[in-house]
Amino acid sequence: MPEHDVLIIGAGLAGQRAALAAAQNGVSVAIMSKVHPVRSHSVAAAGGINAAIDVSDDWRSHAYDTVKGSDFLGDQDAIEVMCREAPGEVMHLEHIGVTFHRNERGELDLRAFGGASINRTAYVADITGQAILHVLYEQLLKHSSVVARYEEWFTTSLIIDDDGACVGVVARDIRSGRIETFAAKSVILASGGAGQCFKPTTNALICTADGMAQAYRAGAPLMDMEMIQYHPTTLAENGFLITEGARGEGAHLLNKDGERFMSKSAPNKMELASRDVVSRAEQTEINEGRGVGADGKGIYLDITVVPRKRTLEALREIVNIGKDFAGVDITREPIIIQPGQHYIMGGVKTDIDGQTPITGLYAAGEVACVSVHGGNRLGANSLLDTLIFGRRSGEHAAQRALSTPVPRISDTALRRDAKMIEEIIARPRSGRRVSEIKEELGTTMNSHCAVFRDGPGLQSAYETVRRLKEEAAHAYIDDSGTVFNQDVLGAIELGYMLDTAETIVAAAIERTESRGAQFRTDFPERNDAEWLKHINTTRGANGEPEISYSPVTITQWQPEERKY
Amino acid sequence: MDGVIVVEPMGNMPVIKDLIVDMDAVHWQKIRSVTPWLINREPVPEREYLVAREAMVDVTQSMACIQCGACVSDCLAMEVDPEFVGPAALAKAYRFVGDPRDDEPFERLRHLAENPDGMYSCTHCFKCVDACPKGVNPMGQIMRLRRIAGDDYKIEDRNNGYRHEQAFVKNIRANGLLHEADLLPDSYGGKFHPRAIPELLASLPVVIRGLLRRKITPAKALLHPHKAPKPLQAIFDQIESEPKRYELNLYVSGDDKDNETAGAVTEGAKR
Amino acid sequence: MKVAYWPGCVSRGFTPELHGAMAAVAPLLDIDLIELDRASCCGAGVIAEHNQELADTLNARTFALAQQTDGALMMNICSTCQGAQSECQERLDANAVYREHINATISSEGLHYEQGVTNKNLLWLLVEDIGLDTVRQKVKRPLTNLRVGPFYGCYIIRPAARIGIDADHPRHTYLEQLIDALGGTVIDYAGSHKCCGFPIITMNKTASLKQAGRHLGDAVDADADCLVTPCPLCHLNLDLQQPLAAAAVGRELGMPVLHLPQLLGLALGLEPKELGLGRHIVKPRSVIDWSQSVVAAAAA
Repeated sequence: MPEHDVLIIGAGLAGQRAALAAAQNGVSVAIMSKVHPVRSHSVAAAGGINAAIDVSDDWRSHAYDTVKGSDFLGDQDAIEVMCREAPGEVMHLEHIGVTFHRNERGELDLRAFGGASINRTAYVADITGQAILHVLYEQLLKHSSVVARYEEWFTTSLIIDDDGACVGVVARDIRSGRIETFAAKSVILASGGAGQCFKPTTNALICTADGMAQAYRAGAPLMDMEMIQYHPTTLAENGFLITEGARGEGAHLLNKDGERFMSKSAPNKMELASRDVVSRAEQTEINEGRGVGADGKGIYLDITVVPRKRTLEALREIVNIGKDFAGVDITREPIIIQPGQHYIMGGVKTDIDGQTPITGLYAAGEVACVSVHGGNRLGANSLLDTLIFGRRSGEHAAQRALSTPVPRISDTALRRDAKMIEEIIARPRSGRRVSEIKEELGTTMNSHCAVFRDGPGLQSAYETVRRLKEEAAHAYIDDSGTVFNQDVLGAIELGYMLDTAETIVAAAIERTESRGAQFRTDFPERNDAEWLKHINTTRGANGEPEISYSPVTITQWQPEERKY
Repeated sequence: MDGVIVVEPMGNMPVIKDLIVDMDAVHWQKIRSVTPWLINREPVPEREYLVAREAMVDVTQSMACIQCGACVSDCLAMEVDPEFVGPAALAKAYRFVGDPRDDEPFERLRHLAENPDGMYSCTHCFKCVDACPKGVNPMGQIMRLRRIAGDDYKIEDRNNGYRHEQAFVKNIRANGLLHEADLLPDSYGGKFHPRAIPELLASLPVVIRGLLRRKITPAKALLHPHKAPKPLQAIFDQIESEPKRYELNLYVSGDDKDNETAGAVTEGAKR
Repeated sequence: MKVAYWPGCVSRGFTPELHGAMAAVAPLLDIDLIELDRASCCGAGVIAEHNQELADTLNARTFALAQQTDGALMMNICSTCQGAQSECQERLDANAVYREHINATISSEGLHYEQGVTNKNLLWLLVEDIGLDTVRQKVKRPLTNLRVGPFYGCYIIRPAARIGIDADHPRHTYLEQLIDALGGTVIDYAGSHKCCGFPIITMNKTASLKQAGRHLGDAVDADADCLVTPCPLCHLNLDLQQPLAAAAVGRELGMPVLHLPQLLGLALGLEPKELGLGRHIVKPRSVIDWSQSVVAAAAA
């Protein structure tokens, strides 16, 4: 049985940063991922990373923008930590090799981004996430003697001992089909978000809420789950992300009358208001008949106002996406976009060191909820979140491991999970296919749990999810092999997604107000008196989510009306 | 073509199952062989390294590599020489050699030049250029590695890469047109260089056959039928004596026709 | 049509039969060749990997010389020249500042390169300017039953964008189209669009010869009578080096390799001898036998 002081699940930015930080604290570290680390979804983060680097900037300004962006649901102590440590983290990335673009003086160039009061987004063209992810992986290769890598291993469950502490995981080697128990003094979940609960989504096929559901099943609370970010610019054809960097570089949003409609809802920041505000404005235009495209469900993103040369240099990826997937030269004509599911602000509840309420279990990145994003995340704060809290989790988990004995683990969990996999493979072909259920889940969530929500819609979504859970228990797969059996993993992931979607809908039903990404047409106002608090969902005895609340930490910024 | 798309596993890598290949055994093993991390130039500054704007745009081209392995799959040199370090790893190597923050470009280049399956084993077939979905232009990066190794560091490798290049340039400067009879011996260090002798003996049968077929005439082999005109030689001398190579990098500069500001091309928005 | 003609180095060096064959074929196709005898080597990619500016200047000079003639366009008979020159032209045409810097260097000879020279390999000229229908009409001796494998050479087909391959210009299929127009049978084999290995013959001889040997072997296995190539550098590795290539892959090869104008000339009625077929290392016996059998059949 492999044993490690710190075991990290997921090898995106949070996971890799945690691994490197833990290794520097002199403990034995392993990182495990169901895909090769450079296939992690962090690779899709395009626009950049926020940090108050500019001499005229201040971390407090960054923190205030973040608090305001969160619609005052973010915990300000955590936001302060993130924003204060941001410049140092970005400089660290620069030193280990990230190829941040420079200004004419050779310093880091900073671009404008949504909800920010100053240019503070460092970037690498529009492949910032990819560049950072690959550089961290370079560092993992450099430190391969102190960080073990389990690439293409799928975690099936967390192991909780009799005292309620997390002491390891069960995982399946995707390549061979072998299943194994891993003992660890500390486990860090860094397994990413839940985008695949929605269809369409900007998220990769791997973003199946694994870590959220694993923690939830182990008894950890999920917080702010109702807060689902719809990105204002996803390609109408297929939901691909068109980076906010486009608007950062100056692109306009236009309705069918050629009007820059953002002047109505955000007269100062216009297209660079926070994402919830822009997505709502777009959806309003569409709902009121001013949308564009064949079905009237799109909005024009006009990048032609950006100098062509600048677009070709700084927005290379979306030039290609436009050409390859929409047949549009974005430097010559507007492209049709729409709001699309992009990010989940909620996740496994943690403190500022990544600790969850379960002893020995940490979480960092999109899987976690510290909460620095509250009701709405600012663009270019997600990379920062992964790195700051990935590092802090790694450091804390390592320190904890130094004073913790090696856990002793039975093979109960291993046998249970092996049996579960056998059971899935053996299912008769009488039920529904896994892929059909996933499809219905995605379209249901996108219909009722999107930019605008209401009680009846959410209630029907909840019932659908409950029904799908029952159907999923009998859903069949085609592949019964052992080598690279993605089918059986898909069935397990479906279970993760359904558990997580259930908590999302339950929390959205619970919050009878409008704040950040949650806009209830039946409760259209923010209601600080009743709802300036986090909603936590915990798995109840009957398997349904149980709701509880926790306070929002306010340090120096009192809630006020949000204007952009 | 008749609506049929042929799908097969990637090339140059062992198949595990169906379309799944073992990328670790080939692609990643080669990536790991080029010391794929930054070796910091000292002292590491407190804030960011101050480097030229263009330099970071330049290395972003190889940073754009998503490690998909398509270039490795298509590499024609690797098809006959599985040990060839290959396009992806060499593009990765350029990402450091071209990075002004790296402290050891010379060591990196020396290693790649001396490796018998290193940068001089690229056959210049452009397969990787077309295979790459991200515009990394691996072969272009390989040519830049050679240019820097040869021209900036004068690394005389045991694979004759440097000598071949020098011999070729010397040959054209002297003759205007390529005089093949000189190229071969010069590529091995000159007719009388010990390294040249076995190679020349090995190619002797070819030369004899050429003579028999009147393809290679003794006069042609020994005499130089062409002489480069003086103005041509002057071009060589002028450019070769420039203190720094003038290199237009289209990835950084773009095309003139892209420089226009498109302005309000919002006609489409009003459709 | 009148063209500024760049024969390249190798056609006047180690493959003189190519230069001769082109000269013999041109009048039959009404191509008026204005030979650029002051122009220099294109650099074959090697000079560019030494010093890009030098390669660009040499080729700007060649283009400028071509532009001084009254040729409708510039024509070459070498895949490598085509590719190496296209690469330089891409830079020269993209950036006016750079172009004028290069022009300053060649101005001492009174030369000036104007953006946008048209430079085409003979193969492209045949398909795009002369037209395969015209070529078909001029065929005197259809290549009936001659099994010909195309071998392009990398530089003339990649990178596709720079080489100008698109839906209207499927230049990676022109050899097949031409063989067909000349009445021959196109042989489909694995190596047709691969690399001959020549560029690394001095650096990694084993790999280089293995490449040539494999493609030749694949053509043998596909029952080709001969290969045809628009690239004299490929010809060096496929023909001149064929005995060594055979040793490298450990099998008999004996595969004749024709230059494009040679194959063309045969179909246009010229005799193997006039086209220098006897000067190859691998005697194109199958081709000569074929042409004799055609002559014999005609006489009977």
